[in-house]
Parts: sequence; structure tokens; C-alpha cells
Amino acid sequence: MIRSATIAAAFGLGGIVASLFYFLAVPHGTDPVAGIAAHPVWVETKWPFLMDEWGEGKAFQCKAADCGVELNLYVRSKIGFCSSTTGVADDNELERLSDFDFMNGATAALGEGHEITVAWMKGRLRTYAAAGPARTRTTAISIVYNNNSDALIATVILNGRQLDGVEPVVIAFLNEKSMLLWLTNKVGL
Amino acid sequence: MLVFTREAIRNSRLFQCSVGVSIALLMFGPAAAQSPKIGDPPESSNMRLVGFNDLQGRSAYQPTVHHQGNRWIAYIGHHGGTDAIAKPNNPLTGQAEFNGTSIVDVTDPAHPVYLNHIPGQEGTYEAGGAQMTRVCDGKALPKGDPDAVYLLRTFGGAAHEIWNVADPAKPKLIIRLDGLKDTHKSWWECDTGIAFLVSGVASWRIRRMTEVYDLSDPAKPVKIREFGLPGQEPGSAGRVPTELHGMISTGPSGNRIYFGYGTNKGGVLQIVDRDKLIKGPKEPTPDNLRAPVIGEMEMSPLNGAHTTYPLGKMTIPGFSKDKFASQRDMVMIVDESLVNECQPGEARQMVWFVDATVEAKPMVVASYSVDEASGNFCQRGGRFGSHSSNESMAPVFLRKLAFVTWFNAGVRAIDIRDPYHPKEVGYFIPSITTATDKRCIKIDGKDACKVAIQSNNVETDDRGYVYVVDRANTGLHILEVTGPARAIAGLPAN
Repeated sequence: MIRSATIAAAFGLGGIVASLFYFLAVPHGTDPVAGIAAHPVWVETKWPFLMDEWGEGKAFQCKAADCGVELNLYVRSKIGFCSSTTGVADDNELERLSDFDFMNGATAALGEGHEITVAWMKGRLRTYAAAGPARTRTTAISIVYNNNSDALIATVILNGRQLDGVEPVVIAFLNEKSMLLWLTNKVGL
Repeated sequence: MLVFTREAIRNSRLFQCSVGVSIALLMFGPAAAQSPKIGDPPESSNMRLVGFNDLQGRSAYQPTVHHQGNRWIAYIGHHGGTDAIAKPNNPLTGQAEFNGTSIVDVTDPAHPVYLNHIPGQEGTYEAGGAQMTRVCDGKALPKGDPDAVYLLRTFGGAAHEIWNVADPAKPKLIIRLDGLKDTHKSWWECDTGIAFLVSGVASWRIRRMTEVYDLSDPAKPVKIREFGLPGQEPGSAGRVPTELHGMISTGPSGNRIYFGYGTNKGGVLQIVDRDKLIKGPKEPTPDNLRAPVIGEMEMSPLNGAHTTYPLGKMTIPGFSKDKFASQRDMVMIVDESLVNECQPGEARQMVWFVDATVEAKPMVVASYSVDEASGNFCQRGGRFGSHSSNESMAPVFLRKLAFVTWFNAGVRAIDIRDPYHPKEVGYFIPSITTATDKRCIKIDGKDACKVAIQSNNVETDDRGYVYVVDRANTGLHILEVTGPARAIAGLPAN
């Protein structure tokens, strides 16, 4: 009896220690919240897509070590392609402007979109299941906002469905001074 | 004998002066061309100004010129007003009115008479006004009032309207088809009443698509079906194909409709069997949307298809001795430039000539563009690039001359008798006036504005007059071709 209790206690204590070790010591690649909140480091990368009608934008990557899950972000403008009066009014308009080609075309919305704000610009964000190049479970987030009739499209690609904390980190990055200066100085907003 | 050595020439005051002038011209010549000034004469070649109307200082879009009894009446659609003047004054009523439709008697083209302004939707620039016009006689429509003349117009982006303009000075509203968004440049067959309305229906995934209507009795519109590219219809998912801009139907005799998708991007020319479209299954499923389509041509994604003007069958001069296919079925596509001063976001927009003899496989065979360096147009201000062509099928210019507006490069007359080798044979760039509105770009986040002509749309009439209207509020210029251009049209020398 005593032996059984000792074994149980040992297992219990071991479990607690293991749990503590897991939560405190092991890097949490599948829990983006902690990593993203602490170290969102975005590094500009080469634009990976072929030339199309909208031309090249900017590409960034935030590694899993910094963001908890690897995030690939592609931002570009579509000049004159948004209604200056209604803006990105609904998910239809978001989808009309989205860069689905960056998601390899195949997409299925994971719920409705919702409103977001980047600096003075309003827009919408919607999440999609997308087929990755290796047919992994790829997730895409399309963020579309507008400055008068000019649309800005940010597409985030990540593996898996670990989405907690991704949105605020991406929106914060889009709000950074360097990104807004790029919009005014290079894109010409 | 006077001999000029190279050294003597280099040291001469004349040479130094000439070099100085040349350098000055190189430095300041383009700058002078950058800024048209009030009082500068129009620039022209083989085109001449006949008459002018300021259109009450309203930004103008589509003109339709209608032979109405013994008169010629121009119906001119307008964009909304500007931030500075949202509701220009109408001197005929003494009221400030939102931009709508100008009605101008152009029977005497040298002295156009402004008859009426029908106000349009509240809103500025593209958000308001009443951009589109088409006109049919009641006696031509199968069930129309024979005493009526009908004006089909948009009301901002929200509706289509039909007015009775039998007395063009006193238009009367007949009906409004509303609850829409982004209505635009429709087509109306006057002999059948079938109308292809560019609309935005809420359930569709696109701003603009086609509503096919029977308007043979304009007072009782009957909707036939909705149409667009597969992927635009309600319930579809993923990438949304390029939105519609407009279409031109050849009616029951030609049984074709040429749809243009895209303005300055992702252009698609779509050739549709008119009969199958009207009589085919109506539910907007992908299969039903594909059923009437005969051929499609994807353009370079860098260009759009604003106007798709069918030229019909043409004997190509260089093929005239060929025993096979010397005659080709040609379509002219005009892109629309949207961006000011050649700024980022847009490639050069121009005119494309498409051989659609094999309708399932149309192919671009030639292009036409204005030489930018000929006028330093990227620095003049506003847009530079094509926008729209005349759409009249009157014999005077058909398959001979095409007129295309080019914003700050005015209107261009193109010899299209050999559509494999189109050639410019004339142009007219109107002078700016005090009414001409500025156009701005951003430099380091701040507005940098210039004033330049923005020739927006053009139409011709059966007599051979050319009507050019300005997007930057300058007004209506009525032109005629002269010299070699006039000879091409077969018009008597002037």
C-alpha cells in the first residue's frame, strides 16, 4: 500500500516536474503567443513570385524562433482598384482584391472576415485554408485595406492552424513607421 | 574663300551662343512643355476645332450624339463634381446641381447650344454623377412609344434610368432600376430593345457584371439574366476574375457581343453568342456562364480591355492576293490608363488590334500608342495613356479612321484601313481653360499638382464630326478632320 502510494507520488511529482520543464524550458514552436509577444523580428526577403499585373511588393519573414511559428508576409499595392467611397466594405471586396495566387489558388475561408485598421486606413482580414507547395496544411491570411482608391494587400502564409497572436503582430508590423514610409515614398499614397 | 575650321567654329560667338541655346533648350524645353498654360493654343495635326461648349465646368465621360428629327443632339454623361465644386451652378436654372447629364444641341457644330442638365447622383468624382448615355428612338424599339426618344443613363453607381428626351430641353423620367452598385457603360440595341447593363448586383463577387434586360418597352423593363466570368457568380470561391468594363453588341444580324473585362489590368476579350446568351439557361452556374462563350483572349496582365470595338470583316491590304483568309474579322481593344504622370502601379495603356477570324482563338496582331517623347506627356500632369474610342458604327469612319482619347495627349486619329499596321494620321490636344481641374501625385507624401487637359471620351456622328469631352472639366470640343485624314474618310475637302 505504502509502496503503491510512493510510486503514485513519484509519478505525480515527476509529472509536475515534467510539466514545469515543458512549460518553462522547452521552446514553444506551436504556441505563437509567447514567442510573438516577446520577439517579433521581421527580415525582408526577396520577392518570390513571378511578375504579374501588380508588379513586385515587399516580402518579409519572421522565423519560428521569433514568432513562434514561421510567418511569411507579402505586401503590395493595387493602385486605383478600390472604391474610395465604400472602401473594403465586405468579404466580397476583400476577395476581389486578395492575392489568391500567392496561396496557390486553392482556398477555403475559415470563417468570416472582420475589420482591421492600419494607421489611417481601414480594411478587412480573413483567414483561409490554402494548399501549400508540399500539400501541407498551409494557412493564409489576407489583409486588405485602402487609401482612397488605392488598395494595399498583405498576405500572410504559415504552416498549420496556430493563429493565436498572429494578427496583432502582423498588424503592428504593417503599422511600423518604415512600412508607412514605404507606402508614402515609394508606392505614392 | 571663307573657310571655317572646327577650331574656328568652336570658338565663334555664334557657336557658343548656339550651344548655350541648345543646352538651355535641353534643360528647360521639356519643362516648358510640362505645364500647359491658359492662353496656349491647342496642339493639332489634321484635326481642327469647329465648336466648343464648357458643359458648365463638369467632368465629362460618355457622349452619345443622336440624330433626332432634323436636329443633332449630344447627350453627355458626367462624373461627380470636385472637392472644390461639388455642385456646379446650372445657369439655366440658377441652381447648384450635382453632375448628371448635359444635353447639347449640336445641329450647328460651330455654335452648340446647351439645352438642359439632368442632375445625377450626389457624390464627387467617380462616386457621383451619371456617366453613361445611350439613346434610342421610340419608333425603332419594338414596343416603344413612337413619339418618344429614350435616354438610358446611369445614376451614379446606384441605378440605371430611362428618360423621355423627345423634347431634349424638357426630359421626363420614365423609370429607374435601382438597388445596384457600380453601374457603368452599358449597351442598348435600338432595333430589339435588348440591353446589356453594366451593373453591380450585391450577391455577385465583383463590382461590375452584366444584367441582360429586355427594354423593348422602356416603361416595362424585363430582366432576362445575369452574366459574368465563371468565378464571379454568387457562391463561388477563390480568385475572382477581372471585373467587367463594358460590351458592344452587333445585334441579331451579327449575333455577337464583345465583352471587355479590366480597365488597366488583367484584360480579357470575350466573344459571346448573343442568341445563346439571351435564350440559354439563366441560372448563373459556371456551366451556364460558359455556354454562350465562343472565344476568350487573355491579354497581357499589364493591360486591360476598356472598350472592345468590333471592326467586322476587313480585307487586309497586304493579304489581298492570298487565296485563303485575305479577309479578317477584326476587333479593336482600348485600355484605360488610371494613374497620373506615369507613376507606379500601372504599365503603359494603349490600343490593340485583334484578329478574331478564328473566333475561338483571337490573337493580337498590332498595337498603337502615342509617342511619349513627342510631347513629354509623362511630365505634363494627369493621366497619359489611352481611354476610349468612338463607338459609332456610322459608315463615314467605320473601318477607315478610329478616334481614341489619350488623356493629356488629347484625341488621336488612327488610320485603321490596314489594322495589321495602324498609323496615326492626326491629333488634337485642346487648350486648358480656367475651368480645367488640377491632377495630383504624391511626392514624399505631399500633393504635387499640375493642370493639363484630360481628354476622356470621344464619339463621332454620321456627318463626320468628332466630339471630345474632358475629364478635368474643360468641356466639349467639336472637331473635324482635315488634310490626309479627311481624304481617308472620303469627306469633301474643307
